[in-house]
Amino acid sequence: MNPTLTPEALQRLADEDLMTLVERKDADAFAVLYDRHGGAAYSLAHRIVGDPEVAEDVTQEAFLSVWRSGARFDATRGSVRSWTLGIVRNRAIDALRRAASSAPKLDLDDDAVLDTKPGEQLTDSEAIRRETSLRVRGALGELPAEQSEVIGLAYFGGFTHSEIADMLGMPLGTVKGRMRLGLEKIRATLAERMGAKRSSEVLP
Amino acid sequence: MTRAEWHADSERLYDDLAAYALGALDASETAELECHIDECESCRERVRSLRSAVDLLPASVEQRTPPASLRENLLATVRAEATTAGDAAVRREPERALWWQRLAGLMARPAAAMTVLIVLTVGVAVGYLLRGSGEETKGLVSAMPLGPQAAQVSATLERHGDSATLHVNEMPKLDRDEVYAVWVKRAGVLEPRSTFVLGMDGSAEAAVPGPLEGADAVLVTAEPRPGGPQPTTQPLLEAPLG
Repeated sequence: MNPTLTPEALQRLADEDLMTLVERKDADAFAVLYDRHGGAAYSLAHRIVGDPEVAEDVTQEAFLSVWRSGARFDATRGSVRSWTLGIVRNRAIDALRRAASSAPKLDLDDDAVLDTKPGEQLTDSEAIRRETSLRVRGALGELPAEQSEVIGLAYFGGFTHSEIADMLGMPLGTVKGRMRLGLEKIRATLAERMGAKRSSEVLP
Repeated sequence: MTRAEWHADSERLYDDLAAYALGALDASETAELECHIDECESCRERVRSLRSAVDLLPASVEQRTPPASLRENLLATVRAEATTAGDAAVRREPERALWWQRLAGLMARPAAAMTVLIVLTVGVAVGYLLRGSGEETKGLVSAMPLGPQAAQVSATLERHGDSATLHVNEMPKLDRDEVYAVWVKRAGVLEPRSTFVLGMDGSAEAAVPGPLEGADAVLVTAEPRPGGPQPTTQPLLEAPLG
């Protein structure tokens, strides 16, 4: 721990270095991590659970888990961002399953979807996030619908391949094959262009 | 199954690896495949490659602005726990000054004006938190539930120096436009301290920023978001101080 680290110095640190500080319970380093990835995390949680309040709870729990179990982060297995978003995804799917098993239905409120006030000023990073999102969505839109459907049901819906096979009335092998073709296509068309830096860190 | 047998049916194996990377295998299939992946470098490599595609999926969703309360609640909890961690190295003396430096830095970026407002709100609370005296008054007291609504609540107040952390369990669920507010009672007057929301299991840990010296009790009420200068409902919990 360097007691002389200024906020500006923290801002310049890579995620992996911030995680080292977070493991030592540095709240300022955690705040920087949250500011970098909180928006993407909340957006993902919202996409999965479909409710702003539950998305807030899910994101809060996921980040507290990062704070409390940062030591479990393994830089050799991927980036801090994908690790964090993986936790968010798992928590959100858990919440979805809990809601499906206990409550008659999710408390969906149409008005609550409009949680972003019109004209609200976006920070720089939000503008970038939104632009990136549009580009990724555009590229995903090029996937054959049959591939994006099974990928979406698995990743955002939390369904297993056998549940998806039942749902769509098709053989297991077909479902898994479409998942593979879809992921390979995403990787081929996008990973090089958008995630070149990150993949080079992930891939040996 | 041996590695040779797995790979003999490589198309099927690759399909399984894709389902695995997407988190779409059930628990027993996942365990079985992980046993193989652990021993097989080429499959590990393949999973890494597939994961780089999966990692792009979160970016494909509509990007939203998280509510300010999320950051406030997270940082209040985290700062309270950082203080509780008790490691002297963690508690940086110049932190309060750094906080204000950071605000000044944010002020310089017009795009961050919204954030600064939020940060200012938190900053005031954190300023109190960091004003804790060097003297460590440690201790754990039970908080008493008040009224029938809170009958099943269990709560403790963990004192550390001149601030504290409130741990609550089985709190009544809030309406979507409400937060729980933490107050410090001093000479019959309630001073606002922090707000928190519940985890899905009805539990929470809330920072109670100081000063607590000379105060009588910590109280919790449910308030309309984002909480105000005075309580508008009857307290649900009371933890005696001193």
